[in-house]
Amino acid sequence: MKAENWQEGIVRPGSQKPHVSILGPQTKCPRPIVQEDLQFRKREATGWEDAFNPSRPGSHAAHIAYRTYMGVLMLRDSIDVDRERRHGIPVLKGTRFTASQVLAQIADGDSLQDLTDGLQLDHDILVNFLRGLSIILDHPHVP
Amino acid sequence: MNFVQFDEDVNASHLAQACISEGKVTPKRFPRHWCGSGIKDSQVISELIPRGNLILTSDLRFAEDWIEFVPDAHPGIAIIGLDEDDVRTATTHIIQSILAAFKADVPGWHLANWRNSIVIIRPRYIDIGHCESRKLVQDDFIDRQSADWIKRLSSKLDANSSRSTIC
Repeated sequence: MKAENWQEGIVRPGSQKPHVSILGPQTKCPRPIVQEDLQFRKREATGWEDAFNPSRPGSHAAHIAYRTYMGVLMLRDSIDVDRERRHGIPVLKGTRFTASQVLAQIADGDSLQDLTDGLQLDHDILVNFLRGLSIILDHPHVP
Repeated sequence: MNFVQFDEDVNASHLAQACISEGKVTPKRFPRHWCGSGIKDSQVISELIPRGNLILTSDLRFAEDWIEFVPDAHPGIAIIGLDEDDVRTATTHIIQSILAAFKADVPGWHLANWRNSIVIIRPRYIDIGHCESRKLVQDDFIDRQSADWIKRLSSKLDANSSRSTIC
């Protein structure tokens, strides 16, 4: 089954339920992932069309697993967890600014520009964090 | 106190602007070259304390967890936080409102001697302590509803400032 390769073991062959680990495979992205990368990875993924063939059993699960995997990669490129920075609370990459505070700042009415200009946070890292989180949350979380 | 040094979590331009507008202290933003550098908490403490400015942070465990990096004599650490029954994540806007309420209650806050004190300011309580031989010692836990809380805070700040003069 070709579609297994690009998911690196995230989806079990023939399974309707994706077996997703939030840690995922230890793949390091060389730079922040942008929207174009997602499109590119779609095209280059072996068996992608096959995985999206609606007549193929498990294709929706494969789609969810792929998106989750990409979401995890985006989060991994935008979040650090380091015991010596904010006691291990997830922080934006390279900073001591917690990811939770980013969300809370937005809830308090801050825009991305407020965060980048006002708090001197990196725009690309912020965008990757928010996009990654949105991808992770964008599938049913019921069994 | 002439300057207040912002930690990264309170390093907001609107907080700095509010300080400048009040004209009581000059804010010092978190060093730009540290942003995104992955600097550790202990390095931040070790680098900021010798600069001699009161450190402002919202990291409740900033001093407690890295107390071995805090000398007995230091310029003071003010930690702004929410009450323990408030589940929100502290944002710079919330911190600004807590600070504004504190400043309204204690108009002479900028004249007080914060040296050697580690003060957690919450909407309802104030926790004041100091560092003694790399250990955090609590001096008082003050209910801001009590009638004499400003007097108690002032006396503890004075007592701590006279503990050690070498910084």
